Amino acid sequence: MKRIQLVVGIGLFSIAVASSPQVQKPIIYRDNAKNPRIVIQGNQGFFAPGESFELSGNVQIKRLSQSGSGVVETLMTCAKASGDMLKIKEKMEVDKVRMTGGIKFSQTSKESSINASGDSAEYDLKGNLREVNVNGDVNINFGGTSPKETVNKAGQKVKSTVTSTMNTTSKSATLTFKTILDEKKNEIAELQIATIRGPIQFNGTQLVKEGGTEKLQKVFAKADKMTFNIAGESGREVRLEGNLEFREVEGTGDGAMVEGATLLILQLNDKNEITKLKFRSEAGQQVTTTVTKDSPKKSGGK
Amino acid sequence: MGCGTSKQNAKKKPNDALKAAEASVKQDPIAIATGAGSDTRFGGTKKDPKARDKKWEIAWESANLAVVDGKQSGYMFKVSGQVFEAGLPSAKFSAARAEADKAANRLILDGGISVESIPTAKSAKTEMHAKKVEWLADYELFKASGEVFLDGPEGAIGPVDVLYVSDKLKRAASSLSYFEKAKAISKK
Repeated sequence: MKRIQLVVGIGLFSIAVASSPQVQKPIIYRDNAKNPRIVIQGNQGFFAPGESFELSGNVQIKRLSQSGSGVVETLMTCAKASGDMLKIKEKMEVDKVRMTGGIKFSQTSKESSINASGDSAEYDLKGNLREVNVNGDVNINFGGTSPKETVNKAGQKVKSTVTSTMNTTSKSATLTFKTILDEKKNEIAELQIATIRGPIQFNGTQLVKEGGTEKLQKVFAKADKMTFNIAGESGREVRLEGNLEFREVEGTGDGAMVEGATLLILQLNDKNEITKLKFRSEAGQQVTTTVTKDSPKKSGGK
Repeated sequence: MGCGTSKQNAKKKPNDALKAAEASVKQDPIAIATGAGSDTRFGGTKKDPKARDKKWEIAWESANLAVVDGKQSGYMFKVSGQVFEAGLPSAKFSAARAEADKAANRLILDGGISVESIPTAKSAKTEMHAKKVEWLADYELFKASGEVFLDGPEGAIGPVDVLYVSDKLKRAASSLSYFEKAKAISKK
């Protein structure tokens, strides 16, 4: 009887051991260069540094740059990725990267962040530009963070950060980053232009000055095409074109809705808050602004 | 002939002992303890089985050779040597122990393993560390397991549980199928 129990015991132990999940370590590549430094990993795949790579399962492509104001992290995650690994100026770079499955792209620094998600994406080097194309159900979030000092009831100065965001949903987007050197000659990839193709839904924050005080108002827009440019005609700006609709949704109590414009230029500050609106229309076309407060009233356009 | 041939006798006539062992097909298993020695393995590749390329060369400080059913195998201790691709040395190795599986064209290293690519004018050496390393001569690749870490001028790969690594330690894959894919892309 004891023997039977022992055999059954060993049998159960064997089943338990055999069925216990094995945690496999991911395959990881790390560049020797420290700044910027590229780290690539996935559950399975291969690396041929200087030639190519292919990965599947929890793929992460990370690029860390140390600048004077802190670390800038560029991270791409997906289910499957393949591309080239090239050594440029003693630093490993990835190029012609094709990614599929639950794409997430982010670039985060102390002051700002860009988050994009989609179904498939490509990452390419074009001279000193880096281009990311995201397709599918694309969500992009541009975040701005700035320090703020307030005085509490006890009269003490309290440091905090103010974060404002700009969200878009679309069908495809191209983010173009330019490699720039900071004052200490650290390489940073800075977003220059984001072209987003629609139909687009845009949510942002508008900075409104009322009687010497500044208030934030949420705005919503619809368009066929959106371009975010850090060095546009009006400096940092967003251009919305095609089948435009723009409205202020909440904040100051007023709600303005603009229709009929062919181009809307949103001038932005460093925190991506809208500081100025510019409408343009074709000759003969009327821009209509509808303001709703207690009761809606209409005003003629330009 | 049985186990326990004295080390002195084996040192004096290792070749005679080996010849006798090879001739003893279907005889009782034979185990022979030997002193320092070396061996060079020649053979074909999977693509060209008739080729007579150098596969590996290995030197050892002591060894236990066995002949079972006429097939020779053996453990070698404090080993060092080189592996070859198309007859040219591609990496050198050292380990506490090695086993030569001549039937499978396989050399198995374990304990204190060091594998280094042969540096060239274009590229500095790459080092591989692992708990166990097999040189699969037919595939011209290393199968490394246990805390595998590859460190070279192009970057570092690992630590990882299992890695299939090319002879010059330039390509690394998590499986044989991915290794073949990397090889095919590299040839393009």
